[in-house]
Amino acid sequence: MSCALPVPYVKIDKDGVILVRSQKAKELLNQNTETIQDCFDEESHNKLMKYMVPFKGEKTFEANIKGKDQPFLLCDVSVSWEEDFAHVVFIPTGNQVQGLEEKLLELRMRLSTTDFELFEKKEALEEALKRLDELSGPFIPISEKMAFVPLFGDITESKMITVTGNALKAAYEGQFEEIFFDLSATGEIDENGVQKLSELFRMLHYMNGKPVKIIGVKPKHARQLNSLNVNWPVYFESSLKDVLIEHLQIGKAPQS
Amino acid sequence: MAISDAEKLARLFLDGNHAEALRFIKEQPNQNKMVLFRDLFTPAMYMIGDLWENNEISVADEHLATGVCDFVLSRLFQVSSEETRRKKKAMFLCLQGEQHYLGIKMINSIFEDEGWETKYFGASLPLEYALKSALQWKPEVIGLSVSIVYNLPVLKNYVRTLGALPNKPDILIGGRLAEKYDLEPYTNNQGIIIKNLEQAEKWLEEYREERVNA
Ligand code: B12
Repeated sequence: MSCALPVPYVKIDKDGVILVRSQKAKELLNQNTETIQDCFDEESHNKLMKYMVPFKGEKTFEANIKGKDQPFLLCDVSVSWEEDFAHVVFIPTGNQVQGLEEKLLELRMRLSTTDFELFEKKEALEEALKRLDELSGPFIPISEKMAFVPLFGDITESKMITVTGNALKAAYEGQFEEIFFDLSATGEIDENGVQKLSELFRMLHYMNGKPVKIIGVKPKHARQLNSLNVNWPVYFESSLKDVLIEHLQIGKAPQS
Repeated sequence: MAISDAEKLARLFLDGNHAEALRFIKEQPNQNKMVLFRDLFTPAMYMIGDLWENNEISVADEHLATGVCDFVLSRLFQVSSEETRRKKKAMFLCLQGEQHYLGIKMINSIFEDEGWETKYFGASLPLEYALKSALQWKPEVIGLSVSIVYNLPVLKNYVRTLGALPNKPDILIGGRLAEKYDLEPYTNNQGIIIKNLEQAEKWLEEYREERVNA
């Protein structure tokens, strides 16, 4: 009767002796298996034994089954007990795992060829890029009271984050009355860059009690700065030259 | 209940958390490779085997854990390529059909640390490839790894064939089965059976001393 079951199935007694096996079970298992233990790889026996004492309901576990033409056939094994007999169904899962196995094999091949030096180069490169950002907005103290920050290249969010960190630290450590930002060497300013720039200016304003000054603004920048509805906490000055002349004259006056 | 460090590592492997696993290893006070392999990596993988036996995880989980473990090993223990010319050569491989390669990967790494130039072939290397490679490269040592019983029958062939190479390499035999069973009958007295990491360390020490005394 149960021979026609569409799954590999065996019925066993308390000692594990196989009483009935379905056609599918005959196709799956070794011919000369007399007990359920014979069907399991030796190192799956411990696991099997945990299910050989009658229990209520049904339980499923994974085990390596000795297949007809395969020493290890990974199966989900379901067991349910009916008094002194147990019904056991084997569902091979090997194929499901196979796809996974192939993917992992691929990964492993990649791993063995992955040049970890390259990994480290990438990390070094990221360091270098950050350093570059730092150098694109150096905070230069010109005198005890005056600092100068030229912004080189395009102003992006990531660059401004780096520049902001350095500028705030320097401004905190020094006591500058006037901080000039020079945009003469600045390229494009993107929207997020503008946002971050205005935040920096605002923070410096709070720290110093005085707005920062911007010099070297090109018409293009003026448009970009105004495109955003930012209330710029800054004064615009014409050029570094003018600023320095003025500053040096003030500085020199008492001496002469 | 406090869980051991090996268990923590096993959990990270099973979670697929390679970043945490890396950090966990880097933060170990003792960075000696032998100690890390012996006290953390190996027991963590065996623990994963126990979890499977307890029906807490599946073979699919083991695959993931293996991948993470492999990644951490590769990431942490690569040798720098600038190393001075190494004199002694060793090659390592798993017998045909054998996919349990993590153990021999560790052994390979330890030999590299000891100043050996190595070739690591990983899982399942057919004998003819091993032979071809060994004929050309002439390693002093060939290490074989075997973990599943079904692969044992071919061991004899590997040992006999590789042991007969003209430059007479030492054939080391290790892997899970070396500790579990007596593999002597498979070695024709041509191979040296290494049951675990301690024995590997001891063998390396003796080899060093022989060299000094020679
Ligand atoms: C992780 C694992 C896997 C991983 C592979 C890990 C890998 N790439 O290494 C995956 C998921 C891929 C896997 C697959 C399979 N596995 Co598996 N696996 C395990 C598990 C859980 C841990 C093995 C491990 O990583 N150990 C840690 C390493 C570091 O230990 P080691 O290999 O012993 O190595 C140490 C020493 O022996 C020594 N050493 C090793 N090699 C050498 C060589 C030399 C020269 C020297 C000197 C020293 C040395 O150094 C190491 C350092 O400590 C074991 C369980 C267990 N109890 O062992 C099952 C186990 C080994 N697997 C088993 C089985 C059945 C399989 C599969 C058939 C399952 C399936 N149906 O799909 C497949 C097929 C694999 C195959 N064809 O080889 C069975 C084997 C049963 C048996 N009768 O032999 C075990 C015992 C599980 C079980 N209870 O059923 N497995």
